[in-house]
Amino acid sequence: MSELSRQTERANRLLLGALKAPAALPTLSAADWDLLLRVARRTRLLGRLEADLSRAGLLGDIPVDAAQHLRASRNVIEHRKTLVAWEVNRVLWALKGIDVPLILLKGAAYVLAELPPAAGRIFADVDLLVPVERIGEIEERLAAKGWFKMRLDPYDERYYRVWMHEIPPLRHRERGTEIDIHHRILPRTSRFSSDPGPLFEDALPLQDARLRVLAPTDMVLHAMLHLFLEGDPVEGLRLRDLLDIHGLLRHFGPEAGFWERLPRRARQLGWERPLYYGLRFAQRLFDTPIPQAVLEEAGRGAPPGPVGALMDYWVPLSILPGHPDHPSPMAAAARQALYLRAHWLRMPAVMLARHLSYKAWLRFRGVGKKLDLAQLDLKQQ
Amino acid sequence: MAGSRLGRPIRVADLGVGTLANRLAGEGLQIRLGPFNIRVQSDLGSIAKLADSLYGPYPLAAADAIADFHVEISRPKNLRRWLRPQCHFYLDGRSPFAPYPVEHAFPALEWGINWCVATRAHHLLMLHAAVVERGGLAMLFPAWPGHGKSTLCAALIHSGWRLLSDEFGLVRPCDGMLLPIPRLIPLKNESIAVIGRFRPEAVIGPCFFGTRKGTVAHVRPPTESVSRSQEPARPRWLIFPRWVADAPLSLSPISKSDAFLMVASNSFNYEVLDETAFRLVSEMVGRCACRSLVYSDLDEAVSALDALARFDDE
Amino acid sequence: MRLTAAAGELIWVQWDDAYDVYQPSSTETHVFNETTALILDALKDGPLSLEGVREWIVKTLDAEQDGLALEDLESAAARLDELGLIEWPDRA
Repeated sequence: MSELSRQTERANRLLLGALKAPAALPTLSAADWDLLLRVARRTRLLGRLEADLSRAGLLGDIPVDAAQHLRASRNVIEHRKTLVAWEVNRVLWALKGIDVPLILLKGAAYVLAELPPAAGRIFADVDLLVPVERIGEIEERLAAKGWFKMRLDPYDERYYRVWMHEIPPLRHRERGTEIDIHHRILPRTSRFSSDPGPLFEDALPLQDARLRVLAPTDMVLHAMLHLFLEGDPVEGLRLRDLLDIHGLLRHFGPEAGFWERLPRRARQLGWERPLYYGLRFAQRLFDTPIPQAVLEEAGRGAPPGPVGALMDYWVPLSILPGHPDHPSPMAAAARQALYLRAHWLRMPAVMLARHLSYKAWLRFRGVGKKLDLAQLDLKQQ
Repeated sequence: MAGSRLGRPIRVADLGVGTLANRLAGEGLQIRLGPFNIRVQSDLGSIAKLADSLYGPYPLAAADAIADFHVEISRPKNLRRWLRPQCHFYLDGRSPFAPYPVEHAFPALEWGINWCVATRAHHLLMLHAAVVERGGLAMLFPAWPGHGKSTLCAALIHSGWRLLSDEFGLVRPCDGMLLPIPRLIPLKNESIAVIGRFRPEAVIGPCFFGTRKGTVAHVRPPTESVSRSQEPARPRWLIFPRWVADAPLSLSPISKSDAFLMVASNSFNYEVLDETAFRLVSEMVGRCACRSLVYSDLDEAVSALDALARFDDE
Repeated sequence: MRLTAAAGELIWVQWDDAYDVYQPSSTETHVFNETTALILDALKDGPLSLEGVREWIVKTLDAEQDGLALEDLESAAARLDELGLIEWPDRA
């Protein structure tokens, strides 16, 4: 085995081992901790390690230098969590008297519904799903209460207006949290698009009845969609997104009827392909317990043989970080390929829109922007 | 700390330029900078030479220490390396940063290390301030418009004060103590000559012209500041300096509420640390004598601050 | 108007001329003047109308009846509403 393969494997095994068996972490050598911190940081899973070790009461048993990095991560995460929860609080305040179903998506949902993915994860924005016919009213009320639309350059503005599946992000004039208001999960022209009606019908209220979250099957499917359609040219698909899926499946699995409903719902919404991939790779990387019958039924969403084989090869290769000192050209190529496959870079913007969400679009547009070291940005990430 | 037959930690200067260059180009040089272990790599000869002189007094990290940051300042890793003489700063193999002309590699490395600390060390409250110490008590100079803190800081550390940092007021949350990170002090433009005149014995590195911040040169702190870099200090004075040409010296109290605002708004991560930050800054402002300092003459300013410390009775 | 739960969590530091206040629910740090602090104080024992708050303050400060303008009070209260520290359901 080449040095590159050895180091890549060592780094990946270290990370997966840490995620699957945090109890063993106190026995790690300093050299292993050094590497683990780097790969966990690269995949934005430092906070996850901290949460797991904290829950197991093991933070005092790891090297102080390592614990400090985890502590730093925790501080950032706690701060962001509060910001997200508060932003939702202020949105409800602003919309007082307007009776509209507000469905929280992704991070905000995990935080407010106290679901496993909320532990150790940084969330930056609030994503809301609302009925299309109420968007104007909501926008107007938020504007009156101090939110403004983020300015876009004409290129981006054309994107969201022509293929609009959400209005541009809103930000309150005094705070930094962005609110993304969606009226559907994906652009109308996307291959996986579907009418959001069923999502609203099955959404479940939180303690504050004005807020809802997607039904468990829908939340899982949305996470799978998000994983495979929102890559990044440098990072590829995000390991923490797959970890979220694993966490949600383990959390909802014991609920009566969940496993029966999951493949059925995927079929109803046209999301069988993402379900197939989501189950397959969560199981392969994290040993998620999934009933065999469900895997078989989900198999109906499998891609044609050659595509499946390619994905089987590319996804693990790209989603695991490898060793930072020994970058793998093959992994980089796999990340690019997955990004291209999802986003068809060489097609004109019109075609790109078929798979992109607005934020992925902004990210794609942002590729190549460089930071100036000499100007120390006092606003931390 | 890396032990040795010397009976003291091995320092960068003990290695010699040749070994330094090999390490930088190979597995990296691990230096202890206050609370942090930094692994530095570089394929540039200029870095090895400057590390030997300017990083000389700094101890190497222990062999089995965990590195907090893995940084590199090198020529581009692709075809560009032959096109234009540029260098890139890498953190963990990634470089989201704009490139620098290769002549500015050293200042870029220094700025890059600042960036690493400021974006990662959120287990501490990081104030944007210069910090010096005398008699176990620390004097902080929060950055604020027109501050000139680096010049004043450089003058003080050659006048009997120990350097904790010219950029970072690292506050340890459990007890509010300030942690030293006594790195090189970058001076800009006229300040370089000012300090050279003020203390001709100060060790100042080469001038780098035409950088994004003008002309930059680095002052190496006295050896004692480096050898005592594991000794925290308790905050005692908050000084807000302003250099005004020909102005008579004035050292006057400022309100605690103003001081609080200026400290909080000139920090790297006050917002991130939520309630902890609020309590730490409140406690610091409560216990410190808060003064604004206007000066035009460096000697006068140093004397005034010496006197403030000597007759401390608040 | 009445205090919210968030108001109950506020952490106060008093200097000579102002209050620095930390709001855990939002992570924000505020600088409050005397008027704003008094509004929150007035509501400690239960809800009051804007007029009620004004009367309470005037009584507490032993001040002139017209020394405290209703508009000042109103804008300070509006700010507290925006910050999530009071609930003001019948605000126009």
